[in-house]
Amino acid sequence: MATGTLSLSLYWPGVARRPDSPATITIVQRSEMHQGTSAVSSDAVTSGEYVITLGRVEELKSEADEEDRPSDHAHGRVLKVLAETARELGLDFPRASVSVGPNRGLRITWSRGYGEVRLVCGGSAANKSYIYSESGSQHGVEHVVDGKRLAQHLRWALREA
Amino acid sequence: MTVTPLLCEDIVLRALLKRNWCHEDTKRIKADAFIRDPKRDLDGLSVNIRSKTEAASWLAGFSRSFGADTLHTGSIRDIDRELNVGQADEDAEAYPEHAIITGLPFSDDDPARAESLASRLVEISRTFDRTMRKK
Repeated sequence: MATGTLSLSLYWPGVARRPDSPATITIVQRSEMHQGTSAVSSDAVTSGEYVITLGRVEELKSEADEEDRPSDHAHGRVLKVLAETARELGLDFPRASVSVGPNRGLRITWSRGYGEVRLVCGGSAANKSYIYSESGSQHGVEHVVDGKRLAQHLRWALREA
Repeated sequence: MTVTPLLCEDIVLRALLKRNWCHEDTKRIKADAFIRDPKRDLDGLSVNIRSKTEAASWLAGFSRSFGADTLHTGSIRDIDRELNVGQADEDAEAYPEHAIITGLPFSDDDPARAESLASRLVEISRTFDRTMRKK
């Protein structure tokens, strides 16, 4: 029985390395065969849009005025949720717009047509974090914030008409 | 606090005071600009009356600003019966150009309503200025 690990890395250098272009697309795929079973898992699939979104978050973190910078609490939570969402959506992760909200929270916004999703991470544990989504006249708020749920909202609100 | 309502035909200006209150790619104003900040917007969301404001000098008066959008007072009232636009009586003499949009909840109190109303305000906003100014 064959047992072993095959790692395959595919790397496209991209068209350019400007921060606003999808410069890097990396797919790491691992095939593992153990005791006659075969499993293929995508350990890391990173879209260029995800990279751009992270870059925008980091740009805010370097703002000169403290009031214009996200708190460590908001920043850490956003990075975690975005990473989970990127794992869910892979190359379908859409580019987001980012800004600092009240109490130095972070607001991440995805828009497409009549759909919009906002990930709001409060500046502290005392402030609310939530996912807001709308599509046409329908809208709702999710108070359990994680990548799986955010991915569901993105799939729903940003779906093609 | 007593607030005197503006006329429905009055146009108000909402300043963009944070980077990325307008979309990085489209420059369209975002809902973020209409979320009340408990530190800044205690009584309501700050706006200026267009006809009483010299926009360039007003926007230059902030430590940093990124432009402004215009909104029609009557259209704001049409969004929701709780929303209103008026001038606090204590502002009338000292800051005759200043007004507030009342009726918006804080996002910590009612996130669904705060976000939904912010979306509606985006829909009726018109781009007025997108110049970055810094003191």
